[in-house]
Amino acid sequence: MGNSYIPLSALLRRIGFDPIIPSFTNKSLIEAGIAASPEFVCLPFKINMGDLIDALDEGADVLAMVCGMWACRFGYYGRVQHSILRDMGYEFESFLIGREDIRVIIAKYKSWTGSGNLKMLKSAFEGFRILKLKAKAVDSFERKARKARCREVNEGETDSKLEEVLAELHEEDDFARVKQIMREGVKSLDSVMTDESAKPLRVKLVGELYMVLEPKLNFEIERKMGCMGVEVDPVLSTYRWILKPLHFDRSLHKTEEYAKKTSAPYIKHELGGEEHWTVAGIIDAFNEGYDGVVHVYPLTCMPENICRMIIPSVVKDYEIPVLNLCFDEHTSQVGVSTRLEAFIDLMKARRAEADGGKGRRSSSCGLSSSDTEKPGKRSNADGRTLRSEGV
Amino acid sequence: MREKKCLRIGIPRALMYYKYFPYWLTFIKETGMEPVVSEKTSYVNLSRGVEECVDDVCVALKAFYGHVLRFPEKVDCLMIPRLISVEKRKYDTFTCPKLIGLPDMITGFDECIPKTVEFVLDVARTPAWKSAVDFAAKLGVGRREALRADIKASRAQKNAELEALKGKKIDDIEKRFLNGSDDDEQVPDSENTEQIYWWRKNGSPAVALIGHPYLIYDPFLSSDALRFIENHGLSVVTPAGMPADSIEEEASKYADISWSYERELIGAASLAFNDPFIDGIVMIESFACGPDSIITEIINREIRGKFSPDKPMMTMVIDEHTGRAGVHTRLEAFIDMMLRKNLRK
Repeated sequence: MGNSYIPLSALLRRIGFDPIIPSFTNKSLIEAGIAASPEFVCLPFKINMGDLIDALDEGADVLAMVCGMWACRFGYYGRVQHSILRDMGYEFESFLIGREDIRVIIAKYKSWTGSGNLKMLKSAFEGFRILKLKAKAVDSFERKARKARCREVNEGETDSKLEEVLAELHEEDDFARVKQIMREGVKSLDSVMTDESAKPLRVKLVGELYMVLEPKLNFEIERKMGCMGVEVDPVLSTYRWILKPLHFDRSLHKTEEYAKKTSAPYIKHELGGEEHWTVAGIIDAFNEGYDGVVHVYPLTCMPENICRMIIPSVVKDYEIPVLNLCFDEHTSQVGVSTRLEAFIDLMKARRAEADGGKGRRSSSCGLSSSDTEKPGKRSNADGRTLRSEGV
Repeated sequence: MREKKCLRIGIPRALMYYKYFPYWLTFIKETGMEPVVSEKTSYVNLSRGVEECVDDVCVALKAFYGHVLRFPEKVDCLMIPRLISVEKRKYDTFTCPKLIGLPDMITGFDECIPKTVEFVLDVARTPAWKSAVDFAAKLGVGRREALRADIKASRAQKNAELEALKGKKIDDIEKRFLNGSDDDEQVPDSENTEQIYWWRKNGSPAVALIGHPYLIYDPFLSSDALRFIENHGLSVVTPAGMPADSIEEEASKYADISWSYERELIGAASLAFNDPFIDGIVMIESFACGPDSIITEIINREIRGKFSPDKPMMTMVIDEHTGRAGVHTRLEAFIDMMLRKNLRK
């Protein structure tokens, strides 16, 4: 999911496993996952299934999955996925984190690695330290890139630099070196040539965790909008996702509490997903003067569907444009691009209106205005020209 | 107080109404108010719900919207249940997120519907009588009166469950409650357990119809599947007809699941698979139902695969486009197949 593989694989290497990173989510992988999944579970289940099949084909022996007992069905994914995979004839050891007793997990771990108590503690300590460090590094890189991308002068510079530093980070497991890479990476992203006078539109990205964080699923919404000159700010991050359940960073709990409090007038009881983040994100976006909110979620997602029904009443109180994008395996990239473009036009028109009619004309022909002008026209079946960016 | 004004409380006939109507109706009546139940689900109110609802939620929720938005009579307020948890266990229990968030969603439609009043049920954290008192307080009913009504309503609910256990149809029980005939004093003999497992005695082949109450007891949504099977001379066993303690016993054989209603379905399915007197199982689930997508897999892989792979089972997924004829054809084929299998034995 997103760049979370970097810190997680570092943790696994530290504690003595050889992580298998499935190939980046691609079409054939998704199809394999869909074939094996029940019909109307949400997209993340299907994608994850594809990843697991891929990992097993590459020779994984142990499948680890976080499990729990929440109102959202995610808690049962591990159980169901593993039993489907077993029925398909794969053999593996399953590791349901959260469902099994911690002592069972420790015993399993010991028998696999043959290490004693002390050694285990040491490697666990070091593992989690590197996990936190790398998660932090990834987070700071992504933040920098977000700011730079929508203001960059030479198109594509941010992304190539980001790719570089992430690859470098993934290779390195030494604490001192990781810290150094983090500093250098931030510096390198800072050096991206930007147009300081630019005032990009600001958009908050809210919705279901997986859809927000996995660029291959949301068709790189963050990068794409960034290239169109929009600053995209997701409410969720890899860092939060990895570190919150581990209780390593107290500030994460504070923000969680804050989100719950902010969304309380609309959602009186938690539903087990990211619903409070979605609603709080919209309210925050209004208060902080954002231009719009993009809400992404997979088809049949329970908590986000409830949000979707609540959003109209939230927007009634906090006037801000919200674009709902529902994804499943049939969503097309061009369709999403077109809607994003239309949404950007709408936000521009709104901003122009707020500025007192100044620059109204330039915004009404938003598609051809200079900051959305990107190369890469492509014709669709109707022969109409749709714009798609650097696919 | 009773003379002053008789509040009319609207209850949408959808979702968990089909499980809790004895309690809700009796409670509202006993506190001196008048319950008004919406018409049965029909094409008209379902399509109204489909218009207003997000596309990818289950058909039962769309029906609920339809019931709310097309509430037939003038009422003072609508009762919208918020069922957070319905039982107490070692671990956290929930119902479906959509049932938890139901009032939040409905209040978005403030202008076109009557005032709404939440009935919050969170058994894991607050006792049920307290939620009843809180609900009554919102309507200006005193604590003492509410408590008395709660006792009566709980008894009514228990009696209704007992009747269902003995093979009485939910339809008939509901009719009795709605018509308000006064024979609810006639308490079914709880000591008489003879009639429990009634399908084992009456000789005809039995089909277990497993699914959420708001699907299998709603004649429109389920295309009358229950009556259709019965008209073929078979007895139909629903989860309400199975003893709760046996369901619980069956469900505890599998890994814990925190959705109470789904846990019940798993237990019921397991009981049906293990009961030699039940010849076939029909599962009805709705498209886009979150919990169902998971428990169908669990039932298929953990229960059916392990215990009785050769007992006939059919899963039907329904949504607002489901055609009656399609459902009936499939049920007919299933029944034929099942009976032929029995003959061969």
